[in-house]
Amino acid sequence: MQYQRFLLGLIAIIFLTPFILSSCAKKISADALNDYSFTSLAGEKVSLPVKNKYTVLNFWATWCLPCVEELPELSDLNKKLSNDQIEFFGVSIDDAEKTGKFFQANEATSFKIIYSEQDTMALSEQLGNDKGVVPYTVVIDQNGKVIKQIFGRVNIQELSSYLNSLKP
Amino acid sequence: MIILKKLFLLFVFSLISIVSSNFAIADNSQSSNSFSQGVSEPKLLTPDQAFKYQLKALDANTLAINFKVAPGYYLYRDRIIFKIQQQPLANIEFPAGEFKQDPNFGRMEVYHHDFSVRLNLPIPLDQIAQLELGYQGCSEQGVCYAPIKKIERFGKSTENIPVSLLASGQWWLIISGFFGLGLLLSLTPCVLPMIPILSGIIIGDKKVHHHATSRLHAFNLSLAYTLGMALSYTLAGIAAAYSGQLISNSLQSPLVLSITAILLAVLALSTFGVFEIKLPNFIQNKLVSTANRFKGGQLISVFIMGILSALIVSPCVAAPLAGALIYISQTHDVMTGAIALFSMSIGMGIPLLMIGASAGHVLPKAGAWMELIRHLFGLMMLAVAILMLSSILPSYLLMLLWCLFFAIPAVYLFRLSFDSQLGQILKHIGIALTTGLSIIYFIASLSGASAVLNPLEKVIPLQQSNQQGLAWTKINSLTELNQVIQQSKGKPVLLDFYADWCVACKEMEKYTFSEPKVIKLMGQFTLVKADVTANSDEQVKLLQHFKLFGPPAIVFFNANGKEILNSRVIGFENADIFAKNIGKILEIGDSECNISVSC
Repeated sequence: MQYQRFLLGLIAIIFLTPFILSSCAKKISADALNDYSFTSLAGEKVSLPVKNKYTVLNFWATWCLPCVEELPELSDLNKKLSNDQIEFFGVSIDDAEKTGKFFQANEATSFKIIYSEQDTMALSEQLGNDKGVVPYTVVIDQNGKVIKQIFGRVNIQELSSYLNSLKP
Repeated sequence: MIILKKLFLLFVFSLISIVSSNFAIADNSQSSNSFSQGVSEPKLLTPDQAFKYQLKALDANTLAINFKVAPGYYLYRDRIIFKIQQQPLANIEFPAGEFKQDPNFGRMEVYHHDFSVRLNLPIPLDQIAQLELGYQGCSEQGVCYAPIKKIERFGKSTENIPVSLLASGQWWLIISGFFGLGLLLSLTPCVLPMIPILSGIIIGDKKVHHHATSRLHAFNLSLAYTLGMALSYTLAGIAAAYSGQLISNSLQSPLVLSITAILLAVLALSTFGVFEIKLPNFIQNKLVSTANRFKGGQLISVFIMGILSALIVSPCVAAPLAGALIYISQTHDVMTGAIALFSMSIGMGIPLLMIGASAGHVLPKAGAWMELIRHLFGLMMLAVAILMLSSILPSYLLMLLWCLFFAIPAVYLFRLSFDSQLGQILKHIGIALTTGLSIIYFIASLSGASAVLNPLEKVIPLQQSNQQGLAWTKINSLTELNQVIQQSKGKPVLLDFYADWCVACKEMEKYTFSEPKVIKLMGQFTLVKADVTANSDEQVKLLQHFKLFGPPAIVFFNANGKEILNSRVIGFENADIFAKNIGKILEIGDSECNISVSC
C-alpha cells in the first residue's frame, strides 16, 4: 500500500502542476467584440475590431465628468497622430438618445462615436475593466489582443508617444 | 502527530503565499504607470469598497440609509434614488452636501464624506418586500463608476446568507456561518463520492488494523484527506475568483476523467488482492528506505488524494461557494474569502472526519469479516470510477461496465464459503441479487437504455417522464442566446446552465423540473439550455459573460430581454422553493432593468 500511495502522490503532482501554472497569467482577448454590434451616431453599422489595424476604444458616458473632459483631448490626439494604422472609437455607455442629445450641446469628435443596444459596460469588463469604471481606454492589436489598458483619465502625451511607437 | 503538524504548516505556507501574491498584484498595479507594462491603473477601489451603505429602521415608516464614502471618492446627490415596487420615492431627507462647479455640468451637489439619508416610506416597512437603491459616484483621480444598483430584500431570505455573512466582516460570524453551510452541503451529493474513496484508503491501510494506535492513525488519515480537500477548495476558489472560471470545469475533460477513473479502479482492484503494484526492485528498495526515513509520505499522499478528489471527483458549485467566489472577485479581499472557503470545506469534511474517528471503533479486527468489508469498499471505489466515466462513455458501454461491476460480487460470493446456515442463506441471496442486476444491465446494454437507474426503460416502459412536456432550446454561444432572446420578445426567458458531470443539475431535472406545478410555471418562459459539458471556448465565454463559475445556475430575463436582477438560482433547489421563486420572478419581472445600464 505504501508504494501505491507514493505512486498516487507522484501522479497527482504531475497532474496538478499544469493546471496551477495555466491558471496564472492570462492575456486578455478582444474576441468579445465579435458578439457585439455597434451603430455610429450617423447611423451606420460598425463592426469591431478593425481588421489589420490597431483599434483604440474609449469607453465613456454622458454623465461622467472626467470622460466628458477627456473627449476633446482625445479628439485632438486623433487628428495629430502620425500613425495611420490606428483607428479611434468612442464607445458610449449610454443609449442612442442620450448620446445624441449630448452632441447637440457639445462639439463632435474627430473619431466615430458608437453605441450598442447590448450592454457596453459588460463589454468593457470583458476587455479587462475589472472595476467597472469610466473612462476606460484599451488599445487592441491586429491579432485581437488587448495590449494596453488605461483606467480613468488618459495622460495624452504618454498615450501619444505610445501610439506613435507602435509599428505598422 | 508530527506529520499533521507538517500538513498544517504546509497549509499555512500556502495561505501566506496566496496573501503575498495578492500584495504582489497590488504592487504591480501601482507601479504600472510605466507604459511597458501595458496597464496604467491608479490604485482604485472596487465600487463596493468605495461606497458602502447600511440600512437602519428608525420606526415603522422611516428608514435611515447610512452611506460610507471612502476618502478621495464622492457620490452625486441627485443620482441617489430609491424605489419601492418600481415607484421612485419622493419623500427623502438628504443632508446638505458640498458643491462642485463644473463647466460642463454646472453646479453639482456631492458627498465626499459619510452621510445619512432618511426615507419616509409611503407604506409601513413590514409590508415592503424589497427596496431598490441606485447611486453613482466618482473618484477624485478622474474616474467614475457606472451607476450602481442594489436590491435590499426584507423579510426571510436564505439565498443571501453567504453574502451578508461576508459583508458583516466579523471573523467569528464568517467562520461559524460558513462552517455551518459546509455542514449542510456535506449532506448533498457533493461529498458523497468522497466517502468510499476515503473509507477505502482507511480500510486498505494495514496500520489501522494492527497497530495499537490504530484509532488515532485512522483519524489522522481522514484529517489529512479533509485538509487536502479544504486546501484544494480554497485555492481553486481563489484562482476561480480571479480567472472567472473554476479549474474543475476544465478538469472534466475525457482524458483527466479516464485517468482518474483508471487510478481509482487500480486502487480498488488492489484492495481485492487481484494484484499488488510492484515496481522494479531498485526503485522499490529506494522507496522503502525513503519511506522509512520519511514517515509522512503516506499522510502526504492521502493529503494529495484529498486535493484531487475535491477537484475531479466532486466538483460542486453550491450557493455558498458561489457567494464566496463572487465576493472575492468583487472586493479582491482574498483573506476573508479564503477563510470563508476553508471553513466551509472543513464543514463539508465533517462526515469524512467522523468516518476516520469511528473507523477504529467500528471496524472488526483483522479476519474474514474485515476482509469482506475491505472488499465492499473496494467495490464502492470501483462504482465511483464508473460514475466518473458516465459522462464520457456511450451508454451501451456504460451499461456493460455496470453489468461487469455486479458480476464481481457474484463471482466473489460464489467462491466464498460460510460455516453457518445463515451465512449460506445470505450468500445465496447475495449471489441471486448481484447476478440478477448484472443480467439486467446486460439487457440494458443490448437494448440501448441510457438511464442507469432505470436500465429496463426500453424493455418495460414505465410511466412517461414528465419532463418531455418542457421544450428546451439548446444554445452554445452568446450570439445564439441573443438570437433566442430576441425571438422570444414578449415572453420571459429562463436560461439553465447544465453539464453532464454536474450532479446537482441532474437532481434539478429529476426532482424539480418534473413537478407539475413547476412545469406549469416554467411553461410561461422560453426555456433555454446551455450545455457546458464540453467546456469549449464559446461555452466558457458564455459562463464568464454572466460571471458564473460553473453549473448549476439558472438566469432569468424579462420580456424585454434584460436580465432580472437578483433572481438567479445557483445550486439545487427543490420543487417547492423553486416554484415559489419563479412565481415571484413572473410577478416582478416586467420592469426591472440591467445592472449597468441607467434606466
